[in-house]
Amino acid sequence: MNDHSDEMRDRTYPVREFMDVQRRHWRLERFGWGVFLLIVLSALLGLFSQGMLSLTTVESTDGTLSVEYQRFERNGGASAMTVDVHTAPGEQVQLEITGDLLDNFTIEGMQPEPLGSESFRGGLRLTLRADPAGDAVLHLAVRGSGPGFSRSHFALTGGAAPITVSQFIYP
Amino acid sequence: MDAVLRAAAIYIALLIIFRVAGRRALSDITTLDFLLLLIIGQATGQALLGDDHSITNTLLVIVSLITMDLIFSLLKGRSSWLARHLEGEPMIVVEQGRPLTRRMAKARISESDILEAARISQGLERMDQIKFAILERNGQISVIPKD
Repeated sequence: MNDHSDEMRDRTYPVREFMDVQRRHWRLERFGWGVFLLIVLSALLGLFSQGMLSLTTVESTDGTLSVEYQRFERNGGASAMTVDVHTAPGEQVQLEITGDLLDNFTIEGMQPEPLGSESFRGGLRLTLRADPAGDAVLHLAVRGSGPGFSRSHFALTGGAAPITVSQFIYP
Repeated sequence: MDAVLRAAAIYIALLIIFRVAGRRALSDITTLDFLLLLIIGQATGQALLGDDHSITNTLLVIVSLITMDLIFSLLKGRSSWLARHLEGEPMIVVEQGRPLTRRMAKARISESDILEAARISQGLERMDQIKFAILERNGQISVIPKD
């Protein structure tokens, strides 16, 4: 009664069947579902920006400068970067940003507005003032504007070696 | 250039996604499926146009999409191999009143799906009145009654 052994045989009437192709499609389908599941899980983890795998912080060797950013960005997608400077209370510092940041991102806003801003070796030099606790925080609103890898460098004038921010911008 | 590449990328991505989702997925449209399609359309629209909502960009995207579709249908007409892999082939799921259950399980259709198709298209009541039920390429089930 329940004999399934001939089910995978090709029929020719009323339609011509290709069960080999059909079975290959089924296998491919199952494989594709696995891929879908992987994509969803990795998106939840942040492989496509905004998540555990994506958000990270780098700090300079002397601990005076740190940058929080997304490892993975999307072309045309808005995101935020936070630059943290620890220095003497009330002191003015100059933050140098060079590398791909200005090419691969549009900087849509900076909070607070830096005291000064000038071009510097193809990048930007911003003047910030630390608060009475010695912290100066700069929030950057950025939007990816060129897919691919982007390497930017952040440094304080006269400070430790620049820290490198490596990001990947999805198309 | 941008518009053509966007259209091509989205066309190919959707082709693969809907091929993998299987032919039953969005063919017998329920209300939820219909809403899903609308949402997918909306999400795709944003990616296709980017932040350029000009008439030129819109027309470029539409023409590129239709050109892709034309190219694929021409290729499918030329190569039966490509057609078989992109669109699949019809498959018999009931033969002389006997449901081919293993095939049905793989294709994710149930006996009640087949009986529903039999009622709607032929006014049949029981499985044994069906000569052939065939899962067509577009995901619909066609039913041929016994004489």
